Amino acid sequence: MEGNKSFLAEIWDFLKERKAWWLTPIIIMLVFVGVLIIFGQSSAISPFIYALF
Amino acid sequence: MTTKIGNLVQGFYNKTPFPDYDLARFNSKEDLSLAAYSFAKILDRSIPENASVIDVGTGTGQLSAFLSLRRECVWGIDFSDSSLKKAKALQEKLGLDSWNLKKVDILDPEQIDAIGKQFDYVLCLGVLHHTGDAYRAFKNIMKLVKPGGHVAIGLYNSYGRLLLKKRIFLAKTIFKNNNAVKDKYIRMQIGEVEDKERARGWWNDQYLHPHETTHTVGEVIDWFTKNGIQFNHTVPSTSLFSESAIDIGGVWSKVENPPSFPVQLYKQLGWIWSTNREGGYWITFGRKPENSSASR
Repeated sequence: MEGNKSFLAEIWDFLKERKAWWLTPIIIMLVFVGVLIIFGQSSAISPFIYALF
Repeated sequence: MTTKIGNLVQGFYNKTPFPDYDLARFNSKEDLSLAAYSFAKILDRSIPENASVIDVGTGTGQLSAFLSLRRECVWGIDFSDSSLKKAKALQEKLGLDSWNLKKVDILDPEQIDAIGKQFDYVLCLGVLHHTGDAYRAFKNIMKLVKPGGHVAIGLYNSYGRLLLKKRIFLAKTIFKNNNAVKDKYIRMQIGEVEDKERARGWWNDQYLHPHETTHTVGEVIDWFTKNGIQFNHTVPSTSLFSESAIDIGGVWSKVENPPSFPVQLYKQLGWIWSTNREGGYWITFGRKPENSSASR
């Protein structure tokens, strides 16, 4: 957890120091797309369900 | 079929029966079993041998023929004469006596009523989106489900089909449907194909079909609700944290709550990529309650 906290804190400090708030929506979108890709993946062993023969 | 779309689709399937096959491939019942992909086998094993089954839009009939190998009452209905002709040739060749084939237009409630029977399992896989009025067809075929009977509805998903639509566009415009592209795209969906008739059938179905609609999970949940059908689950899964564990017992007996709208949206956005291989196809499983009455 400590690692996660410092990573997030680092980003926060960077945004605050550089006043780069315009990066916020980009970061949020990147996280969203990342989550989508991870959870949207189909199982490698899922069979064909449309082609039955 | 009296609608313009109906005539168009019927003409299409009369010219190119689907899923199609070279009849010479099937010389025995065993050949049919060996040709079945794993999901067909899962369906077969998970339906009791004494159950009655109807495959709505059976086409050239491989699935219903296969299911009839172990059952006394399996029906396959379709409205394409050419597809049914091929199915009947297979029936005669293999002597499949428990397999009933009938020409039926599922948009016509009188033709549905003329079947005069209800079934324990109603399969309608990849059919409704070619009818021109998917909901009306759905509503009609729900009359074929016995109280307590099971339903499987396979459709193209509005999100999941996006990449295939892009491929259709590229194939038509840039690649002019050349053979190298055809082979690559067919391989992507059904793997290596030696049977040329089957490969041609697939190409036509996926890339040259004159009419298709796409649907969302929310729409199908709504159809189920309106017709008194209990939603059980979908393949691929619409449950937030679980992927579909497709197993023998799970296809028909698994019951999940219908997903909320944000979860539907989230899962379907994921399907853009994850169902791309199968053209955005998904199946919804449901059940008609024992004490079911009329639909709205």
